[in-house]
Amino acid sequence: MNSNSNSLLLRALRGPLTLILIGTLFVIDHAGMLSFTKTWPIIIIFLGIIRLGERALAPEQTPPPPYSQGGAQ
Amino acid sequence: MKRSSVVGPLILIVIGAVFLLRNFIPDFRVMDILSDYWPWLLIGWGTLRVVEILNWHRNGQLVPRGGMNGGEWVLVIFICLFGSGMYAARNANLFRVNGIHLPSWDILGERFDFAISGSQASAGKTPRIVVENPRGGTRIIGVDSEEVRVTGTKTIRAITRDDANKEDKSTAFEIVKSGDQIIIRTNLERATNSRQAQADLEITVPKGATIEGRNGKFGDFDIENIAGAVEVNSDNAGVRLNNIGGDVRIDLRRSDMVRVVNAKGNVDIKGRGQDVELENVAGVATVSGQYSGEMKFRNLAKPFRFESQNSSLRVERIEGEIELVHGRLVGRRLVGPIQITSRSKDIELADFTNTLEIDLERGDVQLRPTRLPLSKISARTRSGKAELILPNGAKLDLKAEVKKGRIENDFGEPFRVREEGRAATINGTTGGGPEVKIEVGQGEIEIRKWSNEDAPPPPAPPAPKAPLEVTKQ
Repeated sequence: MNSNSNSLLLRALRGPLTLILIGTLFVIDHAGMLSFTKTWPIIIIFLGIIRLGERALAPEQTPPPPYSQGGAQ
Repeated sequence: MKRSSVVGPLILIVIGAVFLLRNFIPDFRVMDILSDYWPWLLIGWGTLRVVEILNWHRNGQLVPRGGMNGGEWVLVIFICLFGSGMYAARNANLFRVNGIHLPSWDILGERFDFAISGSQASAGKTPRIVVENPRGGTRIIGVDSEEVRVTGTKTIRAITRDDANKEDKSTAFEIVKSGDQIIIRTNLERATNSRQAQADLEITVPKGATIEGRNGKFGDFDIENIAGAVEVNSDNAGVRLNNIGGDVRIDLRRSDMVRVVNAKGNVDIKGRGQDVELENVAGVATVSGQYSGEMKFRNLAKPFRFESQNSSLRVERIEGEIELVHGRLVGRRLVGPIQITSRSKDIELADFTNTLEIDLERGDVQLRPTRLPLSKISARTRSGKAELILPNGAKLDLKAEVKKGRIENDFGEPFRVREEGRAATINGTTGGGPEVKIEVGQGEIEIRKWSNEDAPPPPAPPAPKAPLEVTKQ
């Protein structure tokens, strides 16, 4: 149960952390060090890493099937 | 079900604070600050969110799934586009090497350079030279010769060398003589995408030439040692002129800097821009338009006039200097008559002669006449503080009043303060001097003597660069 909530936490943090990363890349760009046009793939890598983390933290058990077969409400 | 976040209210507070600052500090440059620091907005927003989410998590509350919803992402993308657009617009002319622009258009393709050269012999001693170079820097130097000589580089951005060669051919460089006029054309506007081409020119001309730079879209002008008139007309240019014999006319839609040094004729600058600097001008100087940067006017021998939307300034002669920075005008060693009107400005004048007239809607005035005898002074501000610092032995007939506020008399006798309700007046004469009239709507007036705390009067002629030191209370 605890690991599940950690996974949810990481998933919730994904958005804000991405936002911080984008901001940082633009700050680096404006400081004249590395252009954002070159550094943007870092965002994709970052998202991948976060997904991996979510997967690792997610509980082992297989999730229940998404739809109940019987069609009951 | 939506969880309320502190970010929304905080954004409102920040927007309010920014506009409040702008209202109180007239030259607080919101756009400049936003264009530089907007990424910190994203970082701040993200950090706040992280703190919030950790907090919710610790309190065992449900955390939102993605951390941010779709609407917020749309706003983020909007901020990124707007911010980087603003940044690019403002810094388009910041990247330069040796005063030559390298505008930030390197998005696609490669750069291909082509040499430019051309010359026109027997141009005469006083030819009229017209330069039409839409993009790129132009440097013109007057020399002892009767030949016009152009060298330079054309840079074309293209995917392949063939494309670049084609563009180079269609934008062939020309130098044409018609009558006593010599036209130098880079023809860059013929390129399929004129933004992809620029030419940096180095031109030597006979000293006596007259120069006209026209149809400029983007690029600096550096012009030196020309005995004739100089005229520059461009959409976006930095202009630096040095040692010009004739009249100077500069008309720009946008510029990061205009500097004219050592001009013997009249100087007329028009347009919008940031910094303006005039030094050692022998003729009448006029600056009109909107300028957001620093302005310095030094050693102008003839009448000088500055006009902007909110302010106007007239001075008979500037022996010292006037600096106009961020809503503050500091001047010293000025010869009047001087006339200043403004919606909002703080004014500090020291060592001025002849009559002085100041009329402000809002702003402080500090006057420090040092040369005797005094002349007629009239200063009005609807809202602000007026300070008059008098030298020993000054003869004047003082009439000052505050409609709402107070008067401080540190000068002592013979001036007397009289208070009536919220208004106050101070009158008195030190023996038959000129009339000195100060009117303040709301604020205060202070009359005092020179004291050791005040900066000593500047030594007679040479003392240009030291910043004016004034103790403010």
